[in-house]
Amino acid sequence: MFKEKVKTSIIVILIINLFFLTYQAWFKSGILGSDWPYFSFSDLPFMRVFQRNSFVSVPKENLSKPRKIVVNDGELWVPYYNSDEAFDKLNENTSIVLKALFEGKVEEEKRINYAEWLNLLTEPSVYVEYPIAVEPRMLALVLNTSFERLPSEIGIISDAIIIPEGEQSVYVALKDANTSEAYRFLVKSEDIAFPEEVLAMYTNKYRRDGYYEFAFSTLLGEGLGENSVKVADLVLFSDNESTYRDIYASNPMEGKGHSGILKSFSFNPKPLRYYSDGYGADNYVENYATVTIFPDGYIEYSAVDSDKGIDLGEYGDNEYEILNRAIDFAEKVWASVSDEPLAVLVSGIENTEAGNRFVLDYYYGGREIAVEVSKEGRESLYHAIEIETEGNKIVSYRQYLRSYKEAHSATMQENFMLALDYFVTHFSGTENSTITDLYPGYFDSGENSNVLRTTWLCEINNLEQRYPKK
Amino acid sequence: MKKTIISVLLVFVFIMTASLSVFAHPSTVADGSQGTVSNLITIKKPDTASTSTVKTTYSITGVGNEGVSVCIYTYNGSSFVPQKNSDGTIATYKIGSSGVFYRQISLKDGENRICVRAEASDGSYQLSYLTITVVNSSVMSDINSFSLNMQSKLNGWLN
Repeated sequence: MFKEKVKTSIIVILIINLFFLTYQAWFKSGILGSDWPYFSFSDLPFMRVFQRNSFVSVPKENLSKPRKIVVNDGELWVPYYNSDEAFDKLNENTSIVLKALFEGKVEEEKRINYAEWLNLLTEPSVYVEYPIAVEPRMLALVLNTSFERLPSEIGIISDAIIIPEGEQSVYVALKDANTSEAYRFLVKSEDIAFPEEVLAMYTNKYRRDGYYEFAFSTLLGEGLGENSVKVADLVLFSDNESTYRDIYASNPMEGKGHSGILKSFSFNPKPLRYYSDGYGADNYVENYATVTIFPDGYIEYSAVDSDKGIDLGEYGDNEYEILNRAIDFAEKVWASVSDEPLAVLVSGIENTEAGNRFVLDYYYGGREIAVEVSKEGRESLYHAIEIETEGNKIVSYRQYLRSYKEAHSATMQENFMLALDYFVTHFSGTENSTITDLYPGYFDSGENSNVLRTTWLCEINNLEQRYPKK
Repeated sequence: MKKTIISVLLVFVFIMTASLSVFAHPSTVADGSQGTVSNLITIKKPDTASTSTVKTTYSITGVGNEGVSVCIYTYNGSSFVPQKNSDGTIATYKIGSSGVFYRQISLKDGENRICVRAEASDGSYQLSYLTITVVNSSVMSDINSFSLNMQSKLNGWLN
């Protein structure tokens, strides 16, 4: 009798296990890791319809994420980029600190000079850098918290330093991105858990591929000797030779008609007037606007008059909302050609005379992809998406439609110093050039091979365009 | 015809040998030896010949003319030996158009004697001696030794 019961129990366990493993293999593809090569229901097109509902808006989520977080345990500086392992956990904890600061949980406030601000980076600390410089009030909004006050000298910020201080308290150092006026705040909140020990955990446990160093710490000086090209204090030097996965680029519009895209611009695809020009582009005209679609995935929308643009609805006095609406629109355009989420980050916000200009860039695996579409018959585009608004209307929209996935090959990243030499030579004829960032990424001009290999991307004078090492 | 081929081969061998002889940093540098020149590079970090640090990974930086080859030697008790690449060859760095060099080295606790050897294409070379003392390298915490009560301190990071 007892034997029978044991046998029955074992069979029941095995059957439950069978169901569980089948579910994992078919729906999660996780049982054998991401390389599970066989059938999965999640790959079926109709399943994607259900999956899409669960997608969060990647660009909106990225608005609140730093571009990089650099951890210093007192000995090592280790950078983490969006999508790196442990980035989200770091971001979560740094966001708690910044929220507490914006909410006014400040016990002490001290004005410091720029040299003192830099020196804080040599202590055990976490450096947080956002992709764009914004007003603190706007950053508070993006982080979904209230904004009490900060000294008026801190008008626009793009980074912060967090220094562990004690139980539930940290120092936060902010500087104005334009004037370098700086302050150090003692922030205390019961939500804060920022012990110094955790920093060594992040430099040791998660990343062992080398040592990084801020330019100011190399003592080379801004001018690198007698060079006309300068290097900003916060450029990260390294001596590492890391290998990164190549990525495969494709045009998601390939083999598809234009009706989906046209509908996203509120064009009726049926009675449209259109003509093909000498560059292979199809030009559609309707309602005081034109949509031009090039075969390589470059699309362009232009309203003839600012009143005739794409209506984003009323957004009240919340200036952050117009960006959100513009992102919503970009996602709508993207959804007309791809089932994947739109993996872009906002890399530029500019107030123009008539309204706003937003630029967004693709990224893959935490690394940015610099885009360059510079061909005859169209205006050059150096970003994935460029949107211009006037009032509550989009008057210009340009995008280079590209999908990326991991390739089977990998490439060794060229040494940092070779990249530095390249960009110093490249910009030596340009007056007042300062390299403000230099980091690994990808470059997609659509002209070479579809397999993109890791390269270096350079930012000059804090401007939005990224220059690739070609 | 034979003579021409032999001449071409000889010229080829000569060129190859000459290019190999350029920047041939020696396998050892005797303690106290002097270079032939002193103007090839200027070391920026460390900013003094003798310095101390708490870090066991340290960068040596400097400026120099484009094309100058730099190699870093560490003292082994009797002479200076060069840093090696993973394949066993001597690790050298050729200064590029930025006019700077940047090399990372690993230090041991206590006194570390370093020799930076810079060599120009004409064979002239400069030797710069540095002493870097690691005063305390125990700042790194051993993650594995975290005790249970540390878990509460790390609450919010490990989950």
